[in-house]
Amino acid sequence: MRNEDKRGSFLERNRMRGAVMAALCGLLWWLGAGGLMAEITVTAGVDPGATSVGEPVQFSLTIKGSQKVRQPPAVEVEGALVQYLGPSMQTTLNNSELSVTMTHRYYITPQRTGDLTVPAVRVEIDGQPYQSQPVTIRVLEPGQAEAPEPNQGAQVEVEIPKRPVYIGESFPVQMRLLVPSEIRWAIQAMPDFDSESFLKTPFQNPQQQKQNRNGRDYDVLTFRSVLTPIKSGTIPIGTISFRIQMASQKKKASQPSPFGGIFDGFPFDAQPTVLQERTLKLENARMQVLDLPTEGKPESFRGAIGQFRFVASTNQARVKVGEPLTVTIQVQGEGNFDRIEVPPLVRPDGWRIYPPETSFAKADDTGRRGNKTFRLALVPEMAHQQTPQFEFSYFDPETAKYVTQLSASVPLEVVGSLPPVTRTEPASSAPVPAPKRAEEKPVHSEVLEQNTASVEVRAPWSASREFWGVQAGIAALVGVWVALRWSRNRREHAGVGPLLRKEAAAMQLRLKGTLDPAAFLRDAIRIVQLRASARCGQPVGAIGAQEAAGALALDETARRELMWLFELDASARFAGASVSVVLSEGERGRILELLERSVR
Amino acid sequence: MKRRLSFVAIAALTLVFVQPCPASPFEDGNAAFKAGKFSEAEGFYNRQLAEGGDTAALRFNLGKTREALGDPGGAMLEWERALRLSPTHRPSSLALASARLTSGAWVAPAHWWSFFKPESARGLEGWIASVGAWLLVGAVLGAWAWNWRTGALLLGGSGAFLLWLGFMWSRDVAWEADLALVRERSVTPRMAPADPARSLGDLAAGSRVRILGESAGWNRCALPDGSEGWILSKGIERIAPPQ
Repeated sequence: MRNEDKRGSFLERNRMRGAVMAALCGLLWWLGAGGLMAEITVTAGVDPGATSVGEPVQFSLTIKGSQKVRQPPAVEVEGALVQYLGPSMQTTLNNSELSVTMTHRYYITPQRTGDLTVPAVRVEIDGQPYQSQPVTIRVLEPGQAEAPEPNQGAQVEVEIPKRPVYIGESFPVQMRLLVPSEIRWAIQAMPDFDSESFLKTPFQNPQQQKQNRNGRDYDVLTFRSVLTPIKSGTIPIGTISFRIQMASQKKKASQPSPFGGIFDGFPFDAQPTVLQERTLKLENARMQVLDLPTEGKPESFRGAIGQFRFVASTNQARVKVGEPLTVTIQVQGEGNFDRIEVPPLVRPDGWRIYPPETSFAKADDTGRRGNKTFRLALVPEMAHQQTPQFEFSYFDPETAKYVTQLSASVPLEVVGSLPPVTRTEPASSAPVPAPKRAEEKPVHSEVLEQNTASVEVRAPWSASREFWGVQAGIAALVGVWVALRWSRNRREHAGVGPLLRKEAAAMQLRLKGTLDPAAFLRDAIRIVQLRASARCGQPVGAIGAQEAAGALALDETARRELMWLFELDASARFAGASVSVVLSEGERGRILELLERSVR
Repeated sequence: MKRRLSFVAIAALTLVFVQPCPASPFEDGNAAFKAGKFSEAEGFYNRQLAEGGDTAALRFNLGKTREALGDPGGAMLEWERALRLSPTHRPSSLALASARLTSGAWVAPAHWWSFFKPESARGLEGWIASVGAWLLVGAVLGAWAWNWRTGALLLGGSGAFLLWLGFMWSRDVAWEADLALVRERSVTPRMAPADPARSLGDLAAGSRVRILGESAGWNRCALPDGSEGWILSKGIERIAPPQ
């Protein structure tokens, strides 16, 4: 009985398996036949949308929902050559839904400029007619480069809170750079954020991911930061600029590969793509920033905005007067921690407060969430029964209300009394309220007994008449002197003077090579006369020794030398023909030196 | 009888002409200070200031009074004013240095060119700059008119240095008019003239800032570290006393 039962159950199991297998086979056949795809769509697309004559573009006919169109549909374009490249099929399972997409690809090579229209392509599936939409191709002049959109589809976007924010409130912001995945690109630097209305924390390292938008794949780079508005109103966020390098869109090979498919253009279009630097900007984003309400603003409010919890604690239960009590204050939560200061004491009387030691532990990478800790020393100056109580206020932007929290106060024993010392101030600033006037009690005199003489405040030099008078006097003197000097120079360089000087200089150059003593003396005299004439304006022939000495303003020694030169020349000229003139080297040197002095 | 009459006359004349000389407000202030009546002392010193003019000793005593009244910022302000009147007033400089240490006041260090500015050069900064400028002009003219070379370089170099020094000293003097001191125990400079704007740290009483501008109860100030920030006007006061 048991064996029969077992055999029966075995047969039943085999029968079940067979039925499942049959069902699976049927399902696969049905799928193959396209029975599951209830909706069939046919779309056409061209990439790129603009080209020039002779440059092919790729035309794709996509049939979604069926793979029954095995034969390539006929595509004819007026004014262009069409070449079929081949089919491709894609099956995807998305949320338990199977979808089949079949794409037929063509190359369309324009033969003329202008707009070419690829007409609607008709296909028939299971006896039903379907057709794609017409597609237009812009064909530009050969010299006119194809004009793709400047950023090739790359874009910048910013994600800000939906609600209005308050002035001083820190809020997270995401700035995203989207670049189409088919473009090769590289980012040059962190984005540049230029704003007059917001303060920004440094950008964190970006996160990269892929995203599909409207059927196009994008590389998405997300930068996170925290912004704090410092102005109210509907204000522009500012300019967000990304400097990236992008490759130009890949140029198609002029002729498709006869092998089609993956061999298209290979290896002939393997020339390196050029990366071009581009700046992508977002400028028009605005957001609403509200002023903090003045109503209900507590006195202890110091600018903290967010949601916080606050606790103050000490581990000392007994302390002597004059000895420090260490209190730890912790503020936890989310908000603008950089504006959280030490909460003030509710009753500061009898406590001397020293500056705190502050630390902050971030709970996220932007520093909006975390734990800020103040460790501060308080010195009791009188007896107390309780630990000091602190008051912390913040503004909650979600409820738009101020929140005030008080720290717990626990029993504290303060023993002893403060020794009678001279009052001293705390070592530094402390979060105490307004300065409290000390009690008037006698102290040792430290003031000066004798008053000093009253000091007359002198007018600044810039307002002093004497100063500007002296400057004006000196300036006038210098101006007159410069004018006189300039006019003398001008006079000297006017008329024939410069020509005469030039001639004298040329003669002096030649003089060194003159060997004949008579000619040497004659030329030397001529040089002196030319220079004197240039100075005094008299004719050259009328210049004698006296006139030359006067015109050249020679000193006594030079004057004597000049007289000697003129006498030597006269004796040479008026001596008899039998007497030959002889000039020693020393005499030639004296004459040359005299001529040099006449220049000066 | 005659002797008696003459005695009465002398006594009457003594009563009329030899009355005790009334104490000055300065002395009254000192007396009040010694008695521990600091508010009264402050009143007397202020009266002396209005009636007798500004002196370094008076400012020093006023500072001491404010210190005793628990106003370290006000005390330091008065000692700064005393040093403006007399830069070598030793009691004021000592008191100021001590108070700065106590309060943690932050004062930007003086520039190196201030260290060798002699006391006699006070008020003559413009003259020094003008001498430098004229020397420079002389060097240029000498080179033009008489072909000076080394002389022009030496004269021009000295002139340029004097001109620069005079200019820097003059600039420092001009900036002194805008120097202010933190009066309150602590002020918080902020990046913008608004309470919630980002804090740039705290400045203790006595810290020196330079006022660059003003807007609705806030002053834009150059802070001791060279940066700029906005401080509530009520928290600071110019060192130059109001005229």
